[in-house]
Amino acid sequence: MFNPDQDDSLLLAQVEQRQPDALLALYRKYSVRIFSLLYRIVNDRPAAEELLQDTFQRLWQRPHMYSSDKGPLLSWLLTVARNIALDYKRKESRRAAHLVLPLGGDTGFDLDNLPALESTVDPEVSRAIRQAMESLPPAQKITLELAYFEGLTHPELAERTGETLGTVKTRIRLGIRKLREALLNQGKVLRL
Amino acid sequence: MNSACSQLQDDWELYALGSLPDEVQKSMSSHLESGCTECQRRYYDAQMALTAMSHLAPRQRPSANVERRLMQSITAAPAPSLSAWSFWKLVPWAAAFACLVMALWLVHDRKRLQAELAESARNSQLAEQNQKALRDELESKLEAAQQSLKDNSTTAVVSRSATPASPTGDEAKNEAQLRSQLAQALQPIEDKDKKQARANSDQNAILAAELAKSQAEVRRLSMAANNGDRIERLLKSASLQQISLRSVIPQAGHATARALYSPQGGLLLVANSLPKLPEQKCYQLWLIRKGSPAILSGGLITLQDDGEGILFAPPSDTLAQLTALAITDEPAGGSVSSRGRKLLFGAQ
Repeated sequence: MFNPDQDDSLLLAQVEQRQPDALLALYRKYSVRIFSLLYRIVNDRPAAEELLQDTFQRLWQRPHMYSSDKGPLLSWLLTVARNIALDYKRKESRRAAHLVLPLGGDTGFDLDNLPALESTVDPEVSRAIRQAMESLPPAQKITLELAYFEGLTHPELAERTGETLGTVKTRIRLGIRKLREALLNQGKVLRL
Repeated sequence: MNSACSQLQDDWELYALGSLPDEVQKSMSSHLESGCTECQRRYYDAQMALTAMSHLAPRQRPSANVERRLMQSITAAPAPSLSAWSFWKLVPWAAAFACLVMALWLVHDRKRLQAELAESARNSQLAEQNQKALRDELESKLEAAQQSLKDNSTTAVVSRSATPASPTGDEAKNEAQLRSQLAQALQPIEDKDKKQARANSDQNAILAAELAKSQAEVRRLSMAANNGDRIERLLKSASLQQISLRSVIPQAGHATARALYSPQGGLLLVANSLPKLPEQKCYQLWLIRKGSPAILSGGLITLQDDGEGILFAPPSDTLAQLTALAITDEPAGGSVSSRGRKLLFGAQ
């Protein structure tokens, strides 16, 4: 049985050795965080579930795409998931109902004996981040949220907010820096 | 920090957000990979802040089906091995080589046919000249015979000026004799003409059949070359994906299939060990996709004697939404919607 608290690098090495249980352990560790982001972006549960599956399939198919110099594994997975979701949103803005495949049969894994989904969402950290966001000037906060969750490009942001491209870039840049500083000032060690 | 770093230092937040133009993103990725620790730290800081932003998304839990589907997909579709990819890489080369050989053969065969056609044309010309000579000879004989008949008639009229103008027995006999001579002279010419016409007709039929065969071969080669191009285009597609299918019921035996596809390159499916079906049945591929309609026919699979089946579906946007493939047995000619047994299945 895999322990969800195992080091990510160890689990990733096992994924590279084609051990499905290791991928399952990572899935159970991070799926709630990633799914929450996906659902926030696409606002469609079946689509978000498909995209969640895509995200972990990519990890399985190309684990070497991740390296530790890209930051923690969760950050990389969130980046991958966000990119997939934004692509999906651009291409499928009028997406129809999704097919939920009728899948039966045995997967060959003892799904019941693996640890339950790990939320990895610490309410205290979430509250701290909300406070940090609220501390940003409203224009920076809105610009940052539109860029991160809606995936708007700089020209789209400029059009939406009625500002110049330069102002938009500056707001994003400063917003991210201030957010980080605010979190550090609150003394929160981010469990990312 | 070097000059490149100072130029980039204000952009790591935008880079982490992925909002810079592609070429700038790539250039900055290369810089990060070069091992610049200062820039890695800036990027890391920006990345941490964005990762923290994901906490702002309301907490949601995925359904248990996702986990089950994920596990099924990774066990049903193992990562492509080097040998498998080597095989697929050889396909366009093999197709190109086969096309080259066939093209050379076709050029040779076309030259042979052209030579035969030229020979036939020469023969026809000669036959025509012979016919003309014979016709001239015949006409000349006919004229001579008519002149002879006229001369005989004039002589008879002069000698019987006081008697009614009716043919005597000798005149009739002469005329019959001349007609008989004429018919005898014409007979071999007519026989020869008929024989020559038959020979020409046979030769033309043979040439026409060879020409039709050659044209069919050209069409087949053209299709083969076209398929080779399509396979090459498919394998070069940036978004190439693979789905492996396995038998899901005992009736499918040990059949397996593998599909390579991309929206730009189409779909190539190769199936192995498919059980032989009765004549009134056929194998049909089904595309299972996101969106509506959720299930589409991918076409009928051409089955060979050794149980290998191949299908090439043209490029389509619907392939972008593909999540799984299934093979069923359907009535000969295929079905609009699947009614047969699901024999093989594979998901992404």
